[in-house]
Amino acid sequence: MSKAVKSGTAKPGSEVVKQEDVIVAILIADSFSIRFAPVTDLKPKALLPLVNRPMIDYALESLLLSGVQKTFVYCVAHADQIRLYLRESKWMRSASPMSIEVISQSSDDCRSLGDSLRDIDGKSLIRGDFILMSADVISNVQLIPILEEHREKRKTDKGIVMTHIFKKSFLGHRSRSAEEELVLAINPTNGRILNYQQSKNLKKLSFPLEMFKEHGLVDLRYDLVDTHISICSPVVLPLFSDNFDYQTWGDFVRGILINEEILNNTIYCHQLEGSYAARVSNISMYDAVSKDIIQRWTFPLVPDLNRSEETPRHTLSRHNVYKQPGVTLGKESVLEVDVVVGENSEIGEQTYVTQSVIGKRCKIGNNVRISNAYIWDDVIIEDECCIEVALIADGVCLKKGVQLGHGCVLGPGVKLAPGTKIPANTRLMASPPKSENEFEISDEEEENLPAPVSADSIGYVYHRPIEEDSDVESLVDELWGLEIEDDTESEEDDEDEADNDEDEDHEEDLEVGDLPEDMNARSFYNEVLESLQRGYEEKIKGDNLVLEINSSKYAYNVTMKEVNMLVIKAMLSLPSVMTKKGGSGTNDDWAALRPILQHFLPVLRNYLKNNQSMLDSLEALEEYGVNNPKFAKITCKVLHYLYGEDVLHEEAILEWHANPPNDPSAMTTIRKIVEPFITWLEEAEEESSDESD
Amino acid sequence: MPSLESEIEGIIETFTNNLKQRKFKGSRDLALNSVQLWKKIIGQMKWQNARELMDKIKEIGKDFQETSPSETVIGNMTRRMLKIVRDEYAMLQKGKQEDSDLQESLQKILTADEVDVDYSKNIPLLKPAIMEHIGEFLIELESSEIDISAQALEHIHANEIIMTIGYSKTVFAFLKTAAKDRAFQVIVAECAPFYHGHKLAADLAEAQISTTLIPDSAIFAMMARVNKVIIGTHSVMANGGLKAVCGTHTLALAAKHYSVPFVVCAPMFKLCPEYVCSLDQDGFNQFASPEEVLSNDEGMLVSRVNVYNPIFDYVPPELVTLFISNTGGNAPSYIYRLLSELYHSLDVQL
Repeated sequence: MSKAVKSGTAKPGSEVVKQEDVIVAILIADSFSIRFAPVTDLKPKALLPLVNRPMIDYALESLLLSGVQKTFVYCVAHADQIRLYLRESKWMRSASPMSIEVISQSSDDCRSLGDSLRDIDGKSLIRGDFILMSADVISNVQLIPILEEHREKRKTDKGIVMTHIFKKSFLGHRSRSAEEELVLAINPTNGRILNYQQSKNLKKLSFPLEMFKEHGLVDLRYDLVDTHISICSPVVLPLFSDNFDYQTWGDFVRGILINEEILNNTIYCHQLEGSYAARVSNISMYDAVSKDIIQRWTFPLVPDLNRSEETPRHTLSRHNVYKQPGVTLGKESVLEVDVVVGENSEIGEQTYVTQSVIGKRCKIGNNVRISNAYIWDDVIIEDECCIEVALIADGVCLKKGVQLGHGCVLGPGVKLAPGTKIPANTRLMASPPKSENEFEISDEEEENLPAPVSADSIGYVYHRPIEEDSDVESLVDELWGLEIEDDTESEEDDEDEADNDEDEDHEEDLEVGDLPEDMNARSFYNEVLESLQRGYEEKIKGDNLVLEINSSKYAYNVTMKEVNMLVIKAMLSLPSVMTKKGGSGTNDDWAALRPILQHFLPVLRNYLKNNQSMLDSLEALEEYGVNNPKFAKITCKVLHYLYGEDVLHEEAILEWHANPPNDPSAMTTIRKIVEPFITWLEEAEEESSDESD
Repeated sequence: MPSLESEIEGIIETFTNNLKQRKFKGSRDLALNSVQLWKKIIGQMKWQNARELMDKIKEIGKDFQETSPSETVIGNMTRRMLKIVRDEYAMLQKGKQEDSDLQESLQKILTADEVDVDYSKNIPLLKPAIMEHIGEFLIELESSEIDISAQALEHIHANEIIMTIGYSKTVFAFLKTAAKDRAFQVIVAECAPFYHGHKLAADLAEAQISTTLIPDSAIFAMMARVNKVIIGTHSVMANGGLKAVCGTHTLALAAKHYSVPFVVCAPMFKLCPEYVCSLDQDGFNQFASPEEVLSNDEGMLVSRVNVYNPIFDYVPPELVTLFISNTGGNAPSYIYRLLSELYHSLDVQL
């Protein structure tokens, strides 16, 4: 039994046996995003209250209930606060059956999941299989059986690195995050993940044909939601360390799948049956998960069953109304359905509350209407306010008659003067935004950012820093209010975060211009151009350049075809880039280009190994010629040279010429110019065939 | 000393954790485990006199109850421990058992002056006496199932048709014992959405008892031909009402309609001195995840409907014909009397 494990390498095998005793989990207490800003400016996301309980509590509780014995909590932003919170909490008590160790790292050194796992690897804390989970995951999954399943699979597949947990949710489910739409290709017989693509915004997807050839059965799944819980083999950490470009889980999966043949690593998927898991990744997910908790999908992680020394139990009454002790309800006030009210809160007369969470020590006046709102601790809401679909952080004060539009987020300490009306989807914070742009001088700042909401209020409009995330992304959050009203599709307009991964899909668009449309391909092109230029100037060896280009390939996740095309284009444009002027259209161009090509022959030979890659490069050559008419004149020379150096084979050139060009204008330009070369080739071929006859 | 304290704390923590993880199978298992826990705690804890001990038991017991408010057995066991301490103290104090219980008249109850009892005296023999008493109690708990099923032949006769619902270990043992000597038929209501009835039907069939499994909706239709309804319960409330698995009330009403005897197998530890209309009414029922009723996968539907999945039903005492406990058969109206034997009136409110 254990032989199968041990046969891989002797040492890890024995460690696996040892690790069987202690079940270890890593909890990443940072989401490396600013979705919750400005609320998260002063408080870490893990400590934000979710139905009157810090988010991290749910994660720890679910690990504890699963029987995990040791948890490493890895914190980055506001690490000291998390550490302090855990030290005071019941989790760190000696009698607790799950021991917790807090690891903190400054946010400069750790900007992504990848960074944190590399750091953990560096500390060499983990030797066996472990559970990797994000602190903002709410789940009631029993993880041990899945861990055992993972170990069981290793007996048949030694290359298993990860079992990732997915939950089935059909389209239109509230806990389907619009940002994380994904398509998986799974082998249904063993649950192996064959392909993973983030499908957001994509109208079409493409899958490699080999996948279908290799596996008799392939399931393409669009109904799965990533739970951000995975069971990892110990090898996951070194894999992250070896590949510095793995930033997110998605990078990792893609990397593993791409290198599958080389490293023989595999990832499996586990589909949840009858249990709940979801990640609070943005504010609309916060809303969805809160509702799921109130409606008890997360049982036993529900407000009436959790208690600690400092927070008494909620009591549950009809229609999912939860109240902590000390709640005062005014005359004729109504708590309609799905309402949670925290300790010692007061609700005034004729106030109507539905589908909302109210924190501790809140004071809510008379005739207030609250629906779909999340109100945290110590909030004061005076008479006749109207709140629909909002998130109100600690210590906010709304004076009489304030009206909030749909989807507003009020940061901690915001105070709004009587009668203020806030437009929909506004984010307010208590201190004026610090401008980091050096050109903005203070008086301009004054002019730009007065207390914008109204006089006598403390509240400044928060703008998401544009340089970090594209501003389109915020639309996801802004959709929040709308989604509740109607679930119809409005997801089209949300864009990706840092890395957009349209893969093969964009190939067709590449022909449009000289430079690729796709952001990834563009940055890849720039990087390649830079490496080539340096390589030429410093006379770096071809092999090293190939390595460099390959690593950029993985970093930007471009396809092989794009690599072939872009490398050729970069080489051709090198003379004009180096001399900072366009080609003269004379033979000087060829004189400049020839030594460059000569230098890069090993690189070219490396990439242009088969017919398809040669066709790609010829296509690139043609495109480059069409876009740079001056270059077109020397195309023939380039072709001849590459043919002479045996980089391009005769068959490829002829095949290319036989097929009509993608751009019709190429017919009159490039094709005409290369005509003599082609005829020469054809003649040569005839001659050779004559000879053989 | 701190090590001792932390050791107890550790035991308690493990227990509450097991409780949360639902590691206990059935209420008898829970009762046994909690009494064993109490035995350990009382044995290891430092206390000077009965008063101190009782305060500590109350404190810890309250904590347990809070952890799992719907498990009445935990509270019952805490009260039993307090009663044992009181009994043993009184006995050692007076040299005779405080046997007033059985002779207690209404007059006496009303005029009773409980405050007078002083528990602060240090009696060295108290601890071993208590431990012995707890040991006896454990034996009683362990044998409770056998004691109940020993009465099976008095209630089940040849060729009778018995109806039951869900899965109760006690009922299974009861029927199995009866089947040794008599041939009878069992109809099992499946008890949706948990479908524990399926398991019982399978187990009964394995024990060579002729069994029919019916959906809950067919209970009324089948009732006309049933001779007796025998069920288990989660707990028995102070008025003789039942806190039993969801669907039991339907069954009880159908039985009443056809005047079919409604027999409840309930060992003594399930007797709970609380009334249904007591202050913390919300702790009475428990709502589980709606997952069993409606799968969470169901897209838009989930956000548009409210799904409830209650676990318990309250069955009023007038629908119950007979309780079979490990000490014998009792009418629901007699429950209050049993309670006064089991628990001390001052311990009802923990």
